[in-house]
Amino acid sequence: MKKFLSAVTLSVLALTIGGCGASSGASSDDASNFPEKSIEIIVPAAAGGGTDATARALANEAEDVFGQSIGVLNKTGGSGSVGMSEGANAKADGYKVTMVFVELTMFKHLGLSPLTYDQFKPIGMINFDPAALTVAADAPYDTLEEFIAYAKDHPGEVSVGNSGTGSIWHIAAASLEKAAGIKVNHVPHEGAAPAVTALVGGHIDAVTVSPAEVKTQLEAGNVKTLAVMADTRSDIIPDVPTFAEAGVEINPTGTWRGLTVPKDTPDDVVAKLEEGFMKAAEDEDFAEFMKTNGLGIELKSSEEFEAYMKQNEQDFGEIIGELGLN
Amino acid sequence: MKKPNYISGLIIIIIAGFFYSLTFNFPKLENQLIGAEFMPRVYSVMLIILGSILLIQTFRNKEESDEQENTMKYSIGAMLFVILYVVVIPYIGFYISTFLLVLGLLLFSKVKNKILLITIPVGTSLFIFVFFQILLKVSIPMGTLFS
Amino acid sequence: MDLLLEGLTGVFQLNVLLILLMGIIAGITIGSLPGLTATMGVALILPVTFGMEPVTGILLLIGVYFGAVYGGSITAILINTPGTPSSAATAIDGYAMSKKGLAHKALTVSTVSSAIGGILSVIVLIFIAPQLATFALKFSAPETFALAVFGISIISSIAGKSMVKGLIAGFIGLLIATIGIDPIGGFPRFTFDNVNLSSGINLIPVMIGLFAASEAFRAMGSIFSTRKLTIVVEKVKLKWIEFKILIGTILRSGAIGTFIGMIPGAGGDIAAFVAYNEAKRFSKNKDGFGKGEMKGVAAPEAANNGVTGGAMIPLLTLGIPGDAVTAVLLGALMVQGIQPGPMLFENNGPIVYTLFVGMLVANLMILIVGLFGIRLFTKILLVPTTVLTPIILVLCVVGAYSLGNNYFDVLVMLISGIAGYFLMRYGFPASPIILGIILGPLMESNFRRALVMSQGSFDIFITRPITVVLLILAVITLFSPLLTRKVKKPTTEGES
Repeated sequence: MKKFLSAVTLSVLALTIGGCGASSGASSDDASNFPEKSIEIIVPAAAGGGTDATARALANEAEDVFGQSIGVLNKTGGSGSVGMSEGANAKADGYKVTMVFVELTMFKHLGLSPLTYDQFKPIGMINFDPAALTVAADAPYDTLEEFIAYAKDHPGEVSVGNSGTGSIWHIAAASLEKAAGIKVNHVPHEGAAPAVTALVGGHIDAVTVSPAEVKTQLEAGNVKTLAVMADTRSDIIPDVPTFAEAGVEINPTGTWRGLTVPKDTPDDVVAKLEEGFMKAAEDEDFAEFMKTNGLGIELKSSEEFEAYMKQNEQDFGEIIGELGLN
Repeated sequence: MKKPNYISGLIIIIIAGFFYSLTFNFPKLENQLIGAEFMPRVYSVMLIILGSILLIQTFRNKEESDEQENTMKYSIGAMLFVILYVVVIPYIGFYISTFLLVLGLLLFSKVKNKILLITIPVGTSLFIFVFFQILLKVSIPMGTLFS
Repeated sequence: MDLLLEGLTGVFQLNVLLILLMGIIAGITIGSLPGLTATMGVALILPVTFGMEPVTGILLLIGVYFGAVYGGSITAILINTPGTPSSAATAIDGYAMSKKGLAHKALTVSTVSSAIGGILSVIVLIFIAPQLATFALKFSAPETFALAVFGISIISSIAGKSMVKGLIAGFIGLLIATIGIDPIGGFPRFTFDNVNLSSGINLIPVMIGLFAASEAFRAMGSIFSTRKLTIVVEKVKLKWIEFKILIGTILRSGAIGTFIGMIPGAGGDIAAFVAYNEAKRFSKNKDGFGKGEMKGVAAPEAANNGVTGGAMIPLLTLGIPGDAVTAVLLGALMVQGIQPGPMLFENNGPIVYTLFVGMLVANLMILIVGLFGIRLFTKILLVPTTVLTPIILVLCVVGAYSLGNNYFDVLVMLISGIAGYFLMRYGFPASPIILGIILGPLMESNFRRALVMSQGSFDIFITRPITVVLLILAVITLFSPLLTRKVKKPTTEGES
């Protein structure tokens, strides 16, 4: 009995130590064999949300591409900044990939975290969902133009729900105010779903959240979407015009998710990761999954993604400054 | 219970006062009647009032006998074990530190049975390994010492 | 009715029943372990269901959800460690019963109450969901604010021996809840430039610390006590006559749970405390609460399982998820091609009724698994304290860590555990702190959101009927224990 037990003890110890040895052993600088072991994606959001779903579905496809297992690690806290900080400070060998989202370009402006996009090297952008101006079905306006005219007649009275002060949907509503020259009453909620619920209940007049988040209510005929803040129409609601089509010039504003690695990761490793993950994102199963979940796919290469984040950070800095949130 | 009541009442008043003073650094937005500072101030003022009531009540009441037996030093001993455990996990990893913690606590509570001294620490580590790491895929820290 | 019959045949197939049973057992296990919540369990099992038939997959998730809500009560009763926040209220009288040797009976009460509360809520869901959903939509910021105030007023009835100390504990919880980003202004409060604090102190590590770790520290001390206090497990069964006394409490609490469950943003934790409070209000033996009163176990358990059916009401009829678990379930339904909302019953009638029948069966399974499991569960109490305590302490650490793989949560748990030990030692109760942390953010954000909506006018709180009724209830709840204590005082003083 005792012998058996000490054998068990030893094997537990061996497992522990061995498990760590594996991660330290394979750190060659040669990228030609990359990846030689499993990759981990840090998801700075809780299990069960849109970010988590995107990461897991993509990891599933990418496993086939890379021929290595890909783990997803949810690391929550600080509106995502805790997980992202860990990702930025991880070993720069390409085995720790971080899923970042739009808030990364806002942390600094909002004074939430000193973390910025340039502490990462981008692999590529995967998903983009634009803001969409959605109002109650029985509202007295049917087009963006009529909405703006109504808001001009009732300055500060139209209440627009968002998913939290300083959230991307708050920024979107503020961009709308600026572009249309109107003044609205911003009503923050704890997330997009409660804001949509308040709209359906008739407690607020409009929301500026993504098409996916209003899709159910749209199909039920409880709400109507007037326009989307993107360059092209949304696949989910193809009948709804873009802001430009409806006569208002506005920067595309919305939430996005992409993959990054720490700043010092070798370029050839990043290139391999970019190639692999882009291939995975183009897979039909992934597209199907994203569609049923109402998530839009928009791919940007490493370079494009970097430029995009830079542009975002500038734009958001201005708007957040004007809102007095910095 | 007289002395502990005085001490806890005072600690509560001091902490509440500290939080109250911090609320003056909060930005005051012109268009917000009830701002970020409102509720924390209500709570901390209530705590100061309640803490004072506790002090006054204790002062007025007759001495109550403390019926609890004093085993606090052993509880504090256990706390020190766990503090040490939480401190060392990031360095030597979860499994070794868990083995050591459980073994340490068993010895601390004077368990002499050798079979228990081995099976319980190993069993606990194994259970965490199987249930949390394998089934639930929690990423158990392995420790910087080994990577 | 035809659809219900169709649902019956859909559920009563061996593989469906087996998967549902597996879900229930997995859920009970996950729910009973501190740190592993119903939401986490459902999210973890979710990917497994993608490859399944729609009905089987969703029922597996429902099994995990219902099982986890029930499972939290087992450890709450046996070792004063609520597995999920929904069972925090159960620990008060459940653990008191265990200490009296009545663990067997307490678990029976919790199992029976959970099952009846759950079944009641599913029946409500089947028959009057659309009407109730319309009512739930009336809940805007002022109504939710009033509900939260009502919940907070319960502090006075769970205060324990000293009202002042109970209130202090409640306000400590409320103050802790203000740490983090201000819900309306977006300004970080009391964060001391620590990124981890900006999203606030997480409730669950605090709960693990205050209940489980502090109790473990106390137990380590008790090992050295000269006055040995051994917990005996008497196989005292629940008598039929006792059940007849409890049934009123169970049904009322189940209804409270269903009602609170359907309100977006309010969940099992609040429902359990409200039901506990109402059970005490209606009871003739108010002093028995907190000392091992059966109704104090029946009420929160019937209520938190009542929430399960209630939360399905806005989810299925409106496509609105009221909390984190139903949000994950919404995703699961959509992946299976089922679009919740007003059209659901027309488009997917047969599937919906199969789910309804499945939910009823799930609650019956909880009853069966629970009653059979009691003898197994109570075995925990036979484990000597010297062995059990170190294991609980390890589980506290792993549980806190596995919430978000964040070491900060472990530190929060440890600090709460140490603080909790000293608070309990000097007569400050733990449950008001938890209640404050749960309800503080709900109250503040809705209070200020209501003022944003009304553009600063306080009229919004006195012109809406639901708000006014709830606020009046809150005032009555807060002051009635104070008043009854005042009235009784001369007699008790005369006795001592």
